[in-house]
Amino acid sequence: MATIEQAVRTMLISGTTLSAGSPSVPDARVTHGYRLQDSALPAVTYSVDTREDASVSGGIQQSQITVTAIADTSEDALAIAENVRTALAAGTYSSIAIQVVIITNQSLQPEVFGISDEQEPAQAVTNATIYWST
Amino acid sequence: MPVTAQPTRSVVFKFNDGTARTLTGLIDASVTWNVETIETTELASVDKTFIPGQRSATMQGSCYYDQSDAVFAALEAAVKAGAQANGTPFTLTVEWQYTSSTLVSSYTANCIFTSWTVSAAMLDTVKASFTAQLSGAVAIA
Repeated sequence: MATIEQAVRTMLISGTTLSAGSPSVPDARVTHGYRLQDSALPAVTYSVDTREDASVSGGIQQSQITVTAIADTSEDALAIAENVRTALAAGTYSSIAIQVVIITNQSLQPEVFGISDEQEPAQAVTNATIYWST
Repeated sequence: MPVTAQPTRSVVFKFNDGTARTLTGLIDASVTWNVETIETTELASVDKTFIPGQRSATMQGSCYYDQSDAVFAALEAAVKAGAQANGTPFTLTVEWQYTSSTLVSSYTANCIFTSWTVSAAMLDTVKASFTAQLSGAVAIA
């Protein structure tokens, strides 16, 4: 059986919302947990932070997820975050029924660069609560 | 043998509106008993005394609001109707199972749904909650 982590990735790469978006994030750059520092940008990482029962019958589960859009500029990171909001949609992914997606928060960490500093990319973080069942 | 804590495995409401139905997707469920007391204190007594009087019970539950679910839609209709078309009361059973065993306990009685609340809030799911006044004897199994 697929895990909720696999299902969330399937949701994010479902259709061409991210891969055909502008800027484009190919499916291979949608990764769980982290991205290598020397890998190409833009990219999207995600994590499933919690998992708990949300009903006393019927097997409904609740999870908090975090999706981070990473790009060289804040503008690109925010543009990808907008596409992430579209990609976060209820449906059945990897045999897991994601019944409800509630986007709870979005924040931006702008790119950082300066003389003698290493440039850090911008990150737009989207938090969501999902209800799901197998 | 002392009482052992039992984690909840599953709780369902079973109700009969002419058709036996089982409602799942519950968020919580409870049964409340109320027993009235009759005072029997004699005039010369300092300490009051009582005997048990009439009793009544209610069931409460809440669940996710989903009108596309046939059982949920039937429950909503039952709340509105009050009783079956032929006057027969609805019957309601709350049944819970324990994680550590297959033991099932239940309370069953005729009922009248006395309250129905649908709530929706930002950053949350739509939920429904209800209260049923139990009528007559309550079967405990």
